[in-house]
Amino acid sequence: MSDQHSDIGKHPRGTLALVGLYGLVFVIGWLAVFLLIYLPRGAVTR
Amino acid sequence: MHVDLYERIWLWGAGAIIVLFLGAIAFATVSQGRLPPSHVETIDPRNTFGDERFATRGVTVNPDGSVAVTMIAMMFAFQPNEIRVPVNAPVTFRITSADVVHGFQIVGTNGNTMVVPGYVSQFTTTFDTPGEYLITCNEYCGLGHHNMFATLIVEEGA
Repeated sequence: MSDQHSDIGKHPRGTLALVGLYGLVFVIGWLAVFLLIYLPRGAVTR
Repeated sequence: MHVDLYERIWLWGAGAIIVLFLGAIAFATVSQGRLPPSHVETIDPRNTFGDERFATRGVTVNPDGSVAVTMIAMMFAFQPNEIRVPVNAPVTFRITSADVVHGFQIVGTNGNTMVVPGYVSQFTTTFDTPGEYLITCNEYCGLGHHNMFATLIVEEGA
């Protein structure tokens, strides 16, 4: 097997890194909205 | 049982997200008393304009300084279209729908509720910043949904 095929059958580490980065940005963004906008507005009385 | 390292990462990640979201809901509920709508009041959706509770719509200032706002949502408008309330006074919104499900969101504030035909949606909030706020329908209600809005004006000493 040549070197260029040495990754076949292994985990796609770059893909995992990109998806992980996306997830991290999503969680940070979500927490920022939750902590900096949603909670400070307070609750209404139902 | 052998579980691949990457599969374990995904499993723990998914679990952590679920715990984070449930924790956020629990925290907001416990710390601020954020609860789902609990005001159950019905109305005949075929006669919203004739019902005495909604026959007169608009702003009413009570003797204690609190304010009541009565509105009807319909395709594709809110009635009344413009309301004025005083700053730093508790404002109780009472809204119902004359046709389909609508949304009632006062953009940039915590005022936000669904408006379901056959029910009266109600919530109370206080505005501490004078200004002009957009009220928008955030539930798709038909072809004119994007034109369904109203204006809330919060005034000093109104």
